[in-house]
Parts: sequence; C-alpha cells; structure tokens
Amino acid sequence: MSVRYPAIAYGVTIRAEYPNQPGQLGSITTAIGEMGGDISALDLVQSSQDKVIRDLTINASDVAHGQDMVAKLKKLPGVNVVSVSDPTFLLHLNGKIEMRSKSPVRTRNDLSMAYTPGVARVCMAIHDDPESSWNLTAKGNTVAVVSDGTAVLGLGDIGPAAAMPVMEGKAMLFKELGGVDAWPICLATKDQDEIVEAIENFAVGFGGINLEDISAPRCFYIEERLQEKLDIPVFHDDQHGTAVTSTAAFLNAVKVTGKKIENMKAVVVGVGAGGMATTRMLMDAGLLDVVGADRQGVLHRDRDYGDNESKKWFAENTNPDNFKGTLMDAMTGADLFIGLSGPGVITVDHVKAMNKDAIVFAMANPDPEIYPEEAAEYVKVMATGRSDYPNQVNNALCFPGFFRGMLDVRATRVNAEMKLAAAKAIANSVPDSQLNEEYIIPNVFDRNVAVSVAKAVAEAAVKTGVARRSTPKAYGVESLIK
Amino acid sequence: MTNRYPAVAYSVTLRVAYKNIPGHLGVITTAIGMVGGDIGAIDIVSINSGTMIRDITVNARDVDHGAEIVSTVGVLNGVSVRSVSDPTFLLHLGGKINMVSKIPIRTRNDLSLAYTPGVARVSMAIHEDPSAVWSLTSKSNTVAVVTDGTAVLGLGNIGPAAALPVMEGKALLFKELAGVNSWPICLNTSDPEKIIQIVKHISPGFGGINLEDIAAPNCFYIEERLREELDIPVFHDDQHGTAIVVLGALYNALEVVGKKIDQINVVISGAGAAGLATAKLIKQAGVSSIIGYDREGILHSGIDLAGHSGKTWFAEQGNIDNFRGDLKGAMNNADVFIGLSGPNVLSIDHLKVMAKNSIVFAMANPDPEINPESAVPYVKVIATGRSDYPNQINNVLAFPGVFRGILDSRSKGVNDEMKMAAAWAIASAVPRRHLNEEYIVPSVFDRSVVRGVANAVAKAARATGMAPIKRSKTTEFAGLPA
Repeated sequence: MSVRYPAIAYGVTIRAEYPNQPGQLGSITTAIGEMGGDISALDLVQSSQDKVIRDLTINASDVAHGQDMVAKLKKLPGVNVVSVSDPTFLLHLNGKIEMRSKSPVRTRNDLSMAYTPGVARVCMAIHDDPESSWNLTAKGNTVAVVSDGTAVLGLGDIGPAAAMPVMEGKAMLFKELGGVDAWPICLATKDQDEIVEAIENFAVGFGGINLEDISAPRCFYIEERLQEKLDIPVFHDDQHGTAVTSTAAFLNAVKVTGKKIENMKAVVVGVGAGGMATTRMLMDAGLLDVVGADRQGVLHRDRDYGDNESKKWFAENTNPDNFKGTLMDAMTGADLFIGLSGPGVITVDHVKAMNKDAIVFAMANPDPEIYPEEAAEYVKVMATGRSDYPNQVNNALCFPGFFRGMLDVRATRVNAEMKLAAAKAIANSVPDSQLNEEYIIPNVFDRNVAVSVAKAVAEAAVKTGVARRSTPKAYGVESLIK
Repeated sequence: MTNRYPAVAYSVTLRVAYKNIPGHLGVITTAIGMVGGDIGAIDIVSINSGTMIRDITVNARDVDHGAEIVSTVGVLNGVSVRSVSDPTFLLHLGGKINMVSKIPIRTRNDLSLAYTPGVARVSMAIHEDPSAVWSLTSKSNTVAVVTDGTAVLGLGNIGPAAALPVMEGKALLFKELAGVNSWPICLNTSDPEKIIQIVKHISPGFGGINLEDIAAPNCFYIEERLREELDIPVFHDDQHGTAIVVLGALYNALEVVGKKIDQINVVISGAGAAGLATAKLIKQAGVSSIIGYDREGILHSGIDLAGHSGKTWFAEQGNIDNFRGDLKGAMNNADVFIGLSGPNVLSIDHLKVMAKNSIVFAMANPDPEINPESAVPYVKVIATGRSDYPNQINNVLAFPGVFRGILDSRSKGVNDEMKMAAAWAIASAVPRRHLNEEYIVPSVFDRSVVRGVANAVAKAARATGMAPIKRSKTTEFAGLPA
C-alpha cells in the first residue's frame, strides 16, 4: 500500500546528530523526501561548533514506512540516530483523561460541606427522594463508556485492557464535543449475562450507558436486556452512532448525486453491529434493494445462520430477489456501497462495476475496505471513517450531541425517532449551498453539530414520551459553542 | 446533647429584603446572634428605591437550629425573607467531580493521534504486552471507589444512590490531597458474591480498588476474596484507614506519656470492621493485650461467638488472659481505651480505674464514647473523630497517601508492614518539638502527610516484595526500534 498519504498517526520523531556543516541538514531532508516522508517539525535540541542535534518529526504512511526512514537515516554518512520516539505513544503516556474535583478542599469548612458532616444531609435527601440524585450528584452529566474489548475498532477481540485507549479517546470526545463527563469501564468478561449484570448494578451513578466495541450478535442481546432493566438510556454506539452518522451522510450523498432512494441498489458488507443497525435505518429512510455480505458471502434466505437471530432477520428482510452470487456480482450496477467490515475487502474492479455516480462509504477502521486514492476516479461520492480524508463518517458527529440531548431531558431510553432526528440534524448541518461530493458530512469539529443533534434528540425524546423533563436546562447546549 | 458549635455544614443563606434605613441590618444581625447563629458572609444583592436585599449566610448547630434562625428573622418587623438556600446543597448541585481530557482535541491531527487511526496501534501494543496498560492508559493513577451503600457514614443502609455524595467526596479528597483519579462505583446489590464478581469484571481500567461503607461482616469476605483474585490492591478504608490513623495517633500518644507499645493494656469498644482491623494492626505493631467489648459485653472464650470470626479473634487473639469481667473490670489498669462504638459507652468511673497517664480515643461519630470535657481531668491524652476538639483521628490522613504510595510503587497489595509504615509516617508528621497531649495527630490539611505516607508505603511495599524493587520510570512501549 504505497498510495496512502503520510499521516501524523504514523509519525516518528527522530533525534538525529550530525556534523555542523552546510548541506548536512539538506541531505537528511532530501533523503526523507525521496522516501515519501512528510516532514513537519524540525526542532533544534542542541547546537555546537562541530555538531547539531535535531528532533525531526516525520509523518509516515504506516509503521513500516516510518521504520524504513529510520533505517535510511542511520545509513546516511555522518548522521547518528540518537533515539526514535513515536508521537502517538508519547501522547498516550499515563492516559488521556483524568478526574477533577469541581470545588477545592482547602479548609475545614470546605471539607465539612463536601464531606462529613455536611454530606450526610445530602445523602439523606437522596435516600428520601431518589430522583434528587440527578441534581445532587454528578449522575446527571455522567455516562459510562462500557466495553468488553471483543470488537475494538477493526482490531477484533483484543481484550478489555487493550480497549482502554479507545474508551479513553471516546471519553475525551464526549467531553470536548458534548460537555459530557464519561468514564471508561472495561469489563473482564465476555459472558453476555455477566456483562448485563455488572452494568445493571453499577448504573446507579450514571445518567446513561454507552456500550462500545462489543461484538455482534452479543451486543444486541446485551443492549436489549439492559434497556429493559434500566431507567436510563442504553446506547450501543457501534450500532446507533454508526447508523445515525451513515444515514446523515447517505441523505446528503443522495442529494449530491440526485439519485432516487427507492430506485437505488445497495450493497452492505459487514453485517455486525454497525452493518445491521445502519441497514435497518437506511431501510427506514426508504432504501428497498439492499444486499448484505459477510465473510461467508452474500446473505440470502437459503443459507444456514445457526442461532444468529440478527443474520436471520437480515436475510429475511433484505435481498428482495434472494440473490446468491458473488460480491462482484452484487456490486455490479450497485449505486451504494456501505462497508463496515475490514481492510481491502473490495478492489478497484468492484468499484468499476458499480452504477454511474456511485456512492462508496468504506468505513472500516483504521484501514478502509478500499482507499480513497484507489477508488476516487470511479465514484461520485467517497466517504471513509478516517479523519485524514474528506467525508469522514465519524460517530463523533453523533454520540456527543446525542447523549447531551438525552441527559438534558433526562431521557429514559433511546428510540428510532430520536435517531432519525439526530441523522437529519447532522445532514442539515451542511448548508445546501456548500453541499458537494467532498462535503456531504459536517466536520467533526463543527461545534454546531452537537448542539443541533442535542436539541433534535431532546425534542424527539420529549415528543415520544421518554423524557423525565420537558425543557432541557441544567447544562444548556449553548454552552457547547466555543 | 452537648452544646455543639455552629458549623458551616449546617449553614443557611437567607435572602432578606428590608427598608434601607440605618440600624435595620443591626436589628437582623442582633436577632440572629441572640438565637446563637454565627454569621458568615453578608452580601448585597440589590438596592432598589429604598429597599435593600441581602444574602446573609449563618452557621447553625444543626438543621433545626437553622430553621429556628430563619423563623426568628422572618418575624422581625419590616423584614421579609425572600428565600432560604443551603450552601451544602448548593455545593452539591450537579455533583462534585467531573472528567477532563488531559490533552485538547481541537484539530484533525489531535483526533488522529488520540483516537482513530493512531489509537489502534496503542491498543495493539497493550494487546501484545498487557503490562503496557499501566503506562499507556490512565489505569496507573485511577482508583475505583466502590460501595453498596449498606453502611454509609453513621447513616446505615441507605442504598447506592444515596451513597453517591460520600463517594464523590472521597474521590474529591483523593484528587485534591493526593492527585489520584478515582471514580465512584455504587453497586445496586448487597449480595457479596455479586459484588465480588462485578468488581473483578470492572477492574481492568483501575489501578486499585477502594472499598467503602460496606457493612460488616460482608466487607471482610468481599475484601479477602478480591485480594486473592485480583492483581491490583484492594483496600477497605473503613477497616484499614481507621486502623492506620489510630496506630499513628497511638504511636504519638505513647511517646507523650512515655509508655512502650509492647507493655500496654488496651481495651477496644466496638468489634465491627474498624475495631477488628485496628485491633489486628496494633497487635502487629506490638500490643499484646487487647480486650474487646461489644454488645455481648467483654469478648472472651466463654461466650458463644459462633459464626462471628471478628469477635472470635478478639476472644482468642486479643483477650490473652481470658478476662471475663465487665467493662469496668477491663478498664482496671488499662493504659489505652479505643472507642469505635457509640455515644456514652464510658463514664468517669471507667476512667478513674485506668492506669496512670491513660490514653482515650473516643471516636464514635458524631457523639463520642465520652464527652472530652468531662474526661480531660482523668486522662493524659484524649482524641476523638471530631474536628471541633483537639486530636481529630480522621481517615483522610491515611487513604490519599496510602493509594498514592501503592500506585507509585505499583504494589500488588497492601500488607501490615505497609499499614504500619503509613501509621508511622502520620505520627512523624507532627514535629517532635510540637508533640504534646493536645497535638498527637497532624492536621488533615498538612500537605506533607500525604507525601510522607506515600513514600513510607512505597518503601515498605518494595521491602516486603509487594512492589518491584525498582520501577523503571521510562516507559517501554512497542514503538519503533531506535
């Protein structure tokens, strides 16, 4: 894969020592440039009459590319590579989040209000009226980000500890974009009933549960059971965040291409949590002809799905012609490709076979089903899950505002109306005047998105009777606009 | 009960309106003073056409006293009380803690390092080397504060939601005093097996577990099982925090009275979680004779304590001479009384029979085993759990530093040596030249205590094999080869 752009996510910082002679730095930067490295910072660490030490931060296309550049520099005459560090790992040292106290405890008076004896009266107030815990504790603005580490990004079952950096990243986005306090809880069990039991019992202190990176079909069972038992919303982001954001992108891509939804032919590859929820939501939006495929091939009604109820549902409710061919056959003439599977699942040939003005959402993370550089010239609209290409279909457009809205009205659950309201709010965040094939979905850093989503979700929650209060107040979405 | 001082924990803020004429404020403040209110801040809210509106904050002795102050002001001529608020509740609005990102996410580059795609490499590094979770996530500085709400302060079984303000207070103290991140986990079950299982399941993201306010005897079983089954330290603060601070106070009290720890007779009233842990720790520290006293009377081998392992410990390990008399008999010639029971267990007659230069720790909250004023003439050193008398024995002196030390040394548990080292560090925080009968315990706001305790705990952990001898400060990660 050499077509990819060098990215900061694969950056390396090389500390290089070389003779203080004219032309030396030039030979280093030239060598890096020839290898396709993208130099960002060139910091001077130390300089003397005879030698110079610099930190060279270079964006690379991938890990191997970074290593190649290090090896190349080591071979350059006169250059000594002192050390190599990795900006991504440096940023992760000791984690990315922390807990803070809102009020200082500096004096006995502070202590006697925030802790004993004053706190006792607050406890008893909650004991007498449990609903007051929404006001008198952090619950009203706090979400648990819960994972068992079984389906982390595109990495698969890497376990709860390895899932932590992702959950911390999620918590950061919750705070930065939605003003929501989120805490990661990574569970050391894969047993779906044990997961339900743990969450059910620790939910007391949280205003919502964000399930994350739990593999299908377990995620469906867990979410459903929890929502039955709890009086706070349970939102599996891989399903609904993906479905909402993909639907938003879809609505705008349809506008850009001028296609008629009811006439479109769609292929969904990857029918796990994201694929399943997205397909359902797109069908709610009017899509009729959807063919799904998983590792075993196309899903049709004559395949055996064992006890996988969700795939059975999929086979029965999609693929109207009960098509049984290959993925290439399915892609032929398709208007829309939705990829929520793994890297390199489709090739240029698949894309070439699609209908005119094809829409390709290759959303596998971190490596998409097909890279935009390869597909671009054959499709009208291309979107990925990555931040380093245009049209990033990123759940971060949904979940911060979605939970902001739910917490603001103290919603008891998530429903389809809230999801559709959120998708429309995201889609409408791109002004019609600016809508084009490279801008079908707003920027993750557009602060207005979370505000619009929050308002839309809160309104839908109130309208459908799943809100504890009809006017959002406590935190106020406007405060999010910076 | 005794004349308590007015305290900020029971303060009220009255918004009063009155004619802005000289002497009117004096009438109000005089009235408040007459009923024993202690005026704090007096703020102007507005002055309009001769009407003055002010917020007057008044410390009261308790809730009833606050109400009395309000009604006293309310009946004053020309004064109207517009509203009454409670500073303690205002401080609790929206909770006392939040979550913040350590690094901002403002640009795509930030996002691609902290989240996808960069985070994927960090996750895989942990997947390949699970110990990297300590350096690459917030685990190493994060503690779960876990309760089931069955024994909250002196309030009893008030449930997990009502326990939240206390756990948030605890979390706040962890952060403010020791820089430890902690998050409250309140469990909606008091089934010990379920609690054990849930804590085990949520443990991957935490560097330690602080159990809190779980009723005896479940707390012993839960802690023991978790210690066996988890690879991170588990510390039940009600037991060990109390034991550590009592031992610290005892070290200094013994120095004041000039007695040796291995030559004293001790009576402990209250054989619950704190009493038992304290007895065990002072036994480890060298005390040989510890007579326990509880609802059954003096605990000795002649009474049936079947099924109560804590009380059996007192009978078998503490009461070494198998004394079978009453409390007064036990107090005869005792050097130290430690009360972790209830109000007014002791009378002056009990004190009169103690050995010369006796030490009494009357720690029942809020009303001690004996009123300090009446005990003073008969004892050399008296300490309580209250902040309004000298020598306050408060867990806040122990748990922040203990966890700081545990986390810094990456200790896998907490043993008696570490607890004794913590106690000694607390004792040492009182400068020798200042040591006297009214100053045996340092102030909870003495910042040197945390550092001293943390260093002592870490050192003891290394010395006893609980922590690696030397922990590399540099973080090893699966980055690029240098």
